Amino acid sequence: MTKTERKLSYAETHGTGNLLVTILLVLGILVEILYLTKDVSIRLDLTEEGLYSLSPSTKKVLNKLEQPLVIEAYLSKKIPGFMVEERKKIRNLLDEYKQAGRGKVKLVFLDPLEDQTIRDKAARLGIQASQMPDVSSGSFSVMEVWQGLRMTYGGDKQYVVQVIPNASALESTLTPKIQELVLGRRPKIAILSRKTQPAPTNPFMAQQQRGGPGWDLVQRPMQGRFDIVQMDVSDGKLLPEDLDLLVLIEPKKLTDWEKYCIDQHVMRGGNLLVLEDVADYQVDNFGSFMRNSFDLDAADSAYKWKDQLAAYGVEASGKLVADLLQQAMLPYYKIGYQMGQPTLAGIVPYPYWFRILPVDWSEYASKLVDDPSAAPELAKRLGPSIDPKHPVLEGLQKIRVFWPTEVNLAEKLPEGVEGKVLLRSSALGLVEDPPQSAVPDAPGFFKGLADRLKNEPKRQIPLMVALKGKFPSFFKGKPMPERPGQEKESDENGGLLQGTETGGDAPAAQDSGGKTGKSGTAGDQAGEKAGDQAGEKPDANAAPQGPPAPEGGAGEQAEKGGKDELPARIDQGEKECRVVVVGDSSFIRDDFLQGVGPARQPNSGQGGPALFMNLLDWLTMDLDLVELRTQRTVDRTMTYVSQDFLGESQEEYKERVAAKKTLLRFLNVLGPVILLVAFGFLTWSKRIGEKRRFLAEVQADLDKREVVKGGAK
Amino acid sequence: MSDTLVILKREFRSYFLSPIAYVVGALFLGIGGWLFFEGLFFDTGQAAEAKMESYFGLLPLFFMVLVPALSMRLWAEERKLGTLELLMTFPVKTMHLILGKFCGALCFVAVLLALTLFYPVTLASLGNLDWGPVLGGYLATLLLAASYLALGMFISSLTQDQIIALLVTVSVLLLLILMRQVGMLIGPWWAEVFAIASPREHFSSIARGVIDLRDMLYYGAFCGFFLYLNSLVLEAKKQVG
Repeated sequence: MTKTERKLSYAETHGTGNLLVTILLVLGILVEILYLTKDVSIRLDLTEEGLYSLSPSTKKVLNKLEQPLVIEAYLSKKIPGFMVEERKKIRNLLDEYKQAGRGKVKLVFLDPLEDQTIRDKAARLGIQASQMPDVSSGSFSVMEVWQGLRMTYGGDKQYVVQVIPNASALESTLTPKIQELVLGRRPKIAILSRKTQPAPTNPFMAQQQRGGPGWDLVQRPMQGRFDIVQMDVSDGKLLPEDLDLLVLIEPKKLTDWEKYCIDQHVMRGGNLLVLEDVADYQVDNFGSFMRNSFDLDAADSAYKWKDQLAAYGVEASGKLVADLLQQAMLPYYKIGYQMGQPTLAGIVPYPYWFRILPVDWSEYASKLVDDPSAAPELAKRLGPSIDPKHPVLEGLQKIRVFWPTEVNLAEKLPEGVEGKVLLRSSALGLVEDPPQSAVPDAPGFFKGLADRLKNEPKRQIPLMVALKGKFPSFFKGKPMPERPGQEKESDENGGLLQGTETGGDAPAAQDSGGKTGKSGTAGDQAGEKAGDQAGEKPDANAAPQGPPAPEGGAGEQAEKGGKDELPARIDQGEKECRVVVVGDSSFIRDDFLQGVGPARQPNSGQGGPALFMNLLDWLTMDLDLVELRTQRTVDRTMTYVSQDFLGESQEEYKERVAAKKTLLRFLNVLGPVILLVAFGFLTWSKRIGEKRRFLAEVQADLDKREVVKGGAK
Repeated sequence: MSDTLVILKREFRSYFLSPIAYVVGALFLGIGGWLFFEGLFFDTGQAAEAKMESYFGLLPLFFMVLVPALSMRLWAEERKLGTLELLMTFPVKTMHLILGKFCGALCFVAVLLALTLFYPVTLASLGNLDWGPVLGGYLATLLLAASYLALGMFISSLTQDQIIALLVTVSVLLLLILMRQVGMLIGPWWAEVFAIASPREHFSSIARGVIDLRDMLYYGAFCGFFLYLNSLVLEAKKQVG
């Protein structure tokens, strides 16, 4: 074969070098396109809740920007592999802020590891590097990772995030801060929460009962959002006048003075949020659920907290609520011990712990009664468990409550006050006095409740109420409570406190219009004099002087008395305000949020914290931020079969669920395979038929030719 | 374009005449469905949520075997039977030929995926299913299959032995899937670069329900590059005769 006859290879005809260059060129162009578009964030979020997009709240807040907002992201490029995905999400989210800011948001990425100046600046701002484990080189080492940011608004206001924890929490951290930078003020909240259950002393129990029975976890995200103070009126002063909201978490042992301070806060137009409980059960790994001592009122209290709430239009029955709807009940994880090790001994549905579901029970009335003619009447009494239109609850799909108590609107609300029930149990709710022990697997426990349910009328138990208006004072026409730190002085002043008891309206009262009632009586004059005397004391703040409400207008005595003078008592609300009472405080309790002991499912993603933060925003008028938390709470729990609540046992229900699962598994696993195989069989049959027909035709043709051939012969 | 459609139809139909496609399809549907529903219906004491995430999480691994099993024959069989030369004599552009075969195979994968629509329908009947991530999951799966197919076709064009094509494709895909882990062994920067280059990373981004231009461009570039390499190989065969 000569050289010209030999087949030339592709490389020979085109040149190997050329070919390689072409391939590399194409590859280079593609990589270049990908590189150039790496910062182009054009995305379509298909999720129903917009899980991977900025919430409408953030967009609203960004629309309020009047001056440039500069976000300096101090992100080191060198990070361990396990952080790559998270870092990508953080950058994407910050990009979205920039895009949603429509030119008002400037985003700058800085790497402190690349430049000492940047590093120094970050350090000055308080941004700290984290030490992260790194196994990239095949051996364990520690890597310095920078992941913080600074926002500056209008050139003078700034906020620094020292360490960005994760992408999912970044929006809920940044947006409220931007809101605060724009508004220039943070709402002020006072909190009263008293732990009664001591933290476990046994180290093992302490580990199991992470967090304990406190409310610290839910207060952490509040720290940056609000100016928070703990309610302390032991110095005899009223609550600060600039307080936007007072939060009472499981109020207990309330003194009369505290009640008076709460009352006057409401009278001055301050909002009030009460997370009310009626009993306090011991939560431990053994699940004994013994009732702890629990008193709403202090031992020496003359006034009942329950009555005070009633004065505002809230009826707290003092009853514990159970919900026997299967889908609502939460499981109680019974822990047993084998060889000293905790083991799961069983899972029991527990009606005192339940989920409030967004179901309109009036639609189910016909299923809840034996007599169909009674259904329309029942439907009138039933309604949605969660008010879907209220801004605090909009988007919330399930809220877990633990040993809740009944909280309803009073039959007759005070004049000028309107109220609404926002949360209710399912139509299978029951109320009862708190039992001494509430162990769910005790003999007859569930049956007893189920029997009651059969015999009692179906009703939804109200669990949360919201009222709005100018509230009347609970203390109107009542003697002034004893002011802390004043007893000794009072006695010295001739038993003036006794005078408060007999003097009736003696404290400097206001009329309904809020004007101070100065009648110019002898009592008032005496009060004025005493007040003046008190005012002459050198350090009135350090040592509260004189009784607050001495006989015959002694209140005014204190009013004008100096630095710790007591403002005049207000008997009728001056400004419109809001009072919200929720019949549970455990839905945001640390141990329940973390799912410990018998309540092993963490509650953090179950709407409770979102509800609490929504309430705070709503009550501090920050409605824009409400959607920030509600967008991620759609209930997607599957219901395999609807339960016949009254006509079947738990075992029967579980059997039906198992049967349904088996059926669905069978249909879904074998169904598509059978379809595919059936299609294949049909195709094969068709081909066989075609083949036979073709062969038959050929045979017929051959036969025909034979006949012709034979004939010709 | 009509050439491409003709080849697509022929190729697509040929899958339904091949027992291998049925075996592979039945295994994919049977094992995938069983694993998904076993996990979903496992009794943890509380009802599971109506989500397809775990199913889509399985697919990159499943497709690592399924797609090479479909792509191995695309050129290797033609070469072995000697029909490739015949194909090359047809008045059809090489790229049309490649696109026809590529789309035909992709359509077959789409049919297999369509058969899994039973799953989201079942979930939607049991709870409040978010169809957004489901749609994203199916789109991501199709794009992943397309990228695997493009790679598999290229490797198939290099050999006439189907088994070699299968093994090499599976090995390369395994390497691509583990790129981030491989990168981590070299260094964090490499981990990031390799993660960007791995089809699986972009898959999980779309499968969660977010369609990002960058992910779409990546898949476009990935498929385009390997289809281009495929065309170079075929052109070379054509030249060599």
